[in-house]
Amino acid sequence: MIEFRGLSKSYTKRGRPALLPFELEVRKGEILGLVGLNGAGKTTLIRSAAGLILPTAGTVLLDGHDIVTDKIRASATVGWVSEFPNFEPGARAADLLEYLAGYNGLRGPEALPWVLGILRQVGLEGDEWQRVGTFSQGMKKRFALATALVARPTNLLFDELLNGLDPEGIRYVRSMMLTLRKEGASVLLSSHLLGEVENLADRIAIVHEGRLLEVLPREALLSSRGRSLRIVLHGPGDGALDYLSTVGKVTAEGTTYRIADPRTEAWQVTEELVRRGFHVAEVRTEHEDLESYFFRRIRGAG
Amino acid sequence: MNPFLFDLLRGLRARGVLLLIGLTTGLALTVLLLGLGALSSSGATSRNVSGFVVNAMGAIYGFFVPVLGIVAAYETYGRDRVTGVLESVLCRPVTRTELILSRFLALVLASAIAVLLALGLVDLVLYVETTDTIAAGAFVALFAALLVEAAAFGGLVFLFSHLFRSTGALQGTAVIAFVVFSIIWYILVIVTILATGLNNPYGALSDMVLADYFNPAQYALLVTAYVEQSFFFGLVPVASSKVGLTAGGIVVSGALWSVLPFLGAAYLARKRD
Repeated sequence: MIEFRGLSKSYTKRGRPALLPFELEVRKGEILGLVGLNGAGKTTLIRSAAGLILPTAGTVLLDGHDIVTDKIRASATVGWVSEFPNFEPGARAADLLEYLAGYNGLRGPEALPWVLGILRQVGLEGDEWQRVGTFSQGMKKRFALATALVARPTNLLFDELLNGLDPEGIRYVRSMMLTLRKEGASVLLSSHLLGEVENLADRIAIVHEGRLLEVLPREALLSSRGRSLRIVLHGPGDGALDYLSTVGKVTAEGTTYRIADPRTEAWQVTEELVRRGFHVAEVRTEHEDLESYFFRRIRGAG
Repeated sequence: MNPFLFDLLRGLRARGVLLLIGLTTGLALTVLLLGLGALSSSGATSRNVSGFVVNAMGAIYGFFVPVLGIVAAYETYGRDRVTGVLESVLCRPVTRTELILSRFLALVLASAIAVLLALGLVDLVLYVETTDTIAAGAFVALFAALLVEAAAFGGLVFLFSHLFRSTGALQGTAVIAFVVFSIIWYILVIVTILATGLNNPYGALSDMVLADYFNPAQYALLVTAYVEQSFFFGLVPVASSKVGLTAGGIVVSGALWSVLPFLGAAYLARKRD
């Protein structure tokens, strides 16, 4: 479980803090998606939890251990993947992973087979003894994932993990995260790929200018998002606009009409159009996607 | 593999460290062989030979070991720190203090092994050529002095890596530190001696000794001057007590230079992101 308790961070004495007092928790067996514009504070939040930056105020608790005052126990529960993974370029992947795993107490004869297994699991089979400096961006991401998973952490911090991965990598990460969730891990996933976040996350936290705007369960997000009706008529639609404008705000493009926030259900509109003699070719209810909702939400936040 | 062992091996394997040790040892051996040739033709005693070797090694290694410390510190910590590579370790169950201490110990141990091998080789050549060896006390003193230099310059690189955020700035600052302490210092000392006048050589030497306490790059020279009771590569025999060169001063200066730069770095590692 990852808990942010009144966490704030200022990098400079003047200027806007990177994080204003922040309260958030990622529960066990949950994937929490973190979305926000560049500079919103997502990376600062994740790096604070990884123990890489020191909070200006407040605490981060990992399975109850403070990342600053009880770092060893707190860090033992964490796996972190950076947005731009950076490793010693001259080291061979298996050697480096074994070295890093050594900090988690994975040493001795069983360490190397375990490390090689993790590298294969993340898709680096055949590259175990390559130097990390020769890896492509996607391979570095996979290696970073291996470093995060090698100690079987219960809390995972993924900063733009999906960036730079090929479709196969994205599919692997998706299934890996769902497995981790099933096993009871807490996963904090920051991403600009809002569609992926929408598909994966149990809850979505929207961050803007260092503030947490809201945390929405996915179901609540679906119901709170804007709805619209898309209607396509077959043949002339003269007069349809008069009726449709009584249902909601209408935009027309040829014989295709879009009604934002309709006051009636799709079947009622269809029935009325047919009753008035129009030939209805298609009626579809569309929900605003996370991206539109996100922009609407942060515009509202000023 | 144990993380500390990995860091140690990385320090020892660093190409710059190996190259420096090879170059310095090559230079030391050349000077040694040429010097021994000259000494044997002038009928020098065993004591003269040992004094020459200790002074020469103090001067040669004393000049190059700071570079060794800088390169080893850059390879084991500085570069990782400024490029962000260190974060892949810092996110693991290790405190900031433990991490920097472990890397510093790896640096010191790697430097100790390199210096010991280099001095051992010189001693071996000396033995083969003259059946004489460097006196045990002088060998230990020289070894310890060189280790102080490596630790001091290594510690300075550790410290700089917490003040600068790019490899260029870090390398540049380390080079400036080396130039100031190892090269410009000589000019300052000579100017000082000339300015204070040559009529009172003890006064000029006292000023030089006092100044050298504050310079880690001159530490090996101070130690060899104390051990051999002579200055300027053994050319000027002077009782060290007459110029303020004391065992206590050497120990305090060495202890401070060994730990102060590192402690500064460790403090910043704990208090800064």
